[in-house]
Amino acid sequence: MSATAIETETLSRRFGPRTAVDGICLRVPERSVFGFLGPNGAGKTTTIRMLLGLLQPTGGRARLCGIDVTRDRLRAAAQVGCLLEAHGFYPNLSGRENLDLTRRLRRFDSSETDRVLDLTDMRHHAQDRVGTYSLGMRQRLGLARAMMGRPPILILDEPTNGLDPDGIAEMRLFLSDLPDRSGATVLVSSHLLGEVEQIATHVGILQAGQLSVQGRLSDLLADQTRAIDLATSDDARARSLALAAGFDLADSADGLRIRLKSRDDIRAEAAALNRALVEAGLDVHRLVPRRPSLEALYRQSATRLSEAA
Amino acid sequence: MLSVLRTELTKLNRSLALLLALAAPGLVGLFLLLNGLRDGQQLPWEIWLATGSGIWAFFMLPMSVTALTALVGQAEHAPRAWDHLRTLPVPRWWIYGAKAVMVLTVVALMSALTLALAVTAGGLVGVLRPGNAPTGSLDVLTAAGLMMRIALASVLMIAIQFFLAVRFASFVPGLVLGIAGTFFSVVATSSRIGVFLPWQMPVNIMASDSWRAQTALGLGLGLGLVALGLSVAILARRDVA
Repeated sequence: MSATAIETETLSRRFGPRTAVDGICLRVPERSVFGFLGPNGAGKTTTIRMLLGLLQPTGGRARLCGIDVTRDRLRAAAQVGCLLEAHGFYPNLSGRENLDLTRRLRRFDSSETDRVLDLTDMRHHAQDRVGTYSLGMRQRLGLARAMMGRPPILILDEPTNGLDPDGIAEMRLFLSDLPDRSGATVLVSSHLLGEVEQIATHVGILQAGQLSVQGRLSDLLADQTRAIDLATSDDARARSLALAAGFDLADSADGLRIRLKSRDDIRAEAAALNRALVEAGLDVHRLVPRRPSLEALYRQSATRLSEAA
Repeated sequence: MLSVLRTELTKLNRSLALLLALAAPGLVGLFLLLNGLRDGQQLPWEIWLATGSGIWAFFMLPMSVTALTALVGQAEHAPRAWDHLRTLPVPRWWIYGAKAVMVLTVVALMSALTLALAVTAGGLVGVLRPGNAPTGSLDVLTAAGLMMRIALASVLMIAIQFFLAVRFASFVPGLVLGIAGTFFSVVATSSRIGVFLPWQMPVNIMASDSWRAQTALGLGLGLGLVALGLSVAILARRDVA
């Protein structure tokens, strides 16, 4: 198996005159949880459909575990379990019957159905008709089906859709644990940046069909500007003092924001700034270190793209 | 391929398609029963079974095929199950081929059930109103042969309805064509060129003119198998956006 579980080379897809996916080079490392982010219409679902062989690319190629999806669809498809936005369950059949359909098609042992039902805590509802399931239960059943046969890659399109807060928390725990537990690589497409930030080891941000950012999440966040939001009894003087102490000012719409010099020791720098302000006789009303976040990264990438456009 | 066919049959459990497969032959049987209980009705078994086969071939089979293919198609379109099926490491033509074979199998079973219920209705009339009991000898083998030829002549109609039902997410195109085809086959029964209308081929098997019967069987089955093969190939190759 290659070190990259999912790889695309200038993957593109046009629908008539419209380019939905524009030459993206995606790299999803093995055993990672990869957050695939982007606004509606950015091309996430089109990319996922090409990875799954549901759509033919109009340019480039995609590989799953080193296997070309277009040239060898059957072998590539055997590497993946997927949860799509539309679950595709038959409402007239029970949860178990639905899983058994997939199990038989993939020629897995009959014990596989029980295994994935237990994994997703769906055993008690297995005999109920899927037509009676809540959206959350369908989501869990979809996850159970995706994990059938222990595929090395899981592609999950909006897995927390329709889940209540408890369900979202359960799903978060479940997904973040998967690479260690099963050795699987997980690609999660989601709108919930906060959720992705908690589970993803890597992220890719798709904007208008182009991959604007991708990489290890911790590296990407470390590259972000770190700053402190400040409110004092005299902000104008605080600004001068900060500049004199060698700090830069950062743009902020709601008050004074000081850009930190180092990336490593925020606490020490914040304390030094606080000391300088207090020793100068200013009252410090607020001093809040701004943590780098996926949301900020997402906004930055959107801004960069719109500026480039 | 057998595992795919088995999954297709499993999908019929508790489905509307299964209900239809039982209800349509049931209606033919019910009609024969009520008709047989009327005053002054005593028919030979040959006419009795030909009446059942005629109703089936003339109207009920084309309408049932229209409804059955629409229900089978919608069973996949409604929950968007095609997406999941097409992601599986299974040749796509197996998936569509198995579905086509399942529809053919259900139509064959519906034809057999129609014949069985026609015989049952005749027997019931004999019990409930002995004076109206069908007369003469009961030749089930001949009737079964006729039903089999009717079913075989319907393959082209099944292929067309199957393609429309699976190709389009909406059930409307298939339903409109099925209703239109049945309508024209009813109003153009005596037309010589009617035998070339796929929806009229099954009933032409019962024509006294052997040319019509042979043409209906040859075209219905021959072109039907070609059309089914083409349908499966086209459906398996196309992108589903």
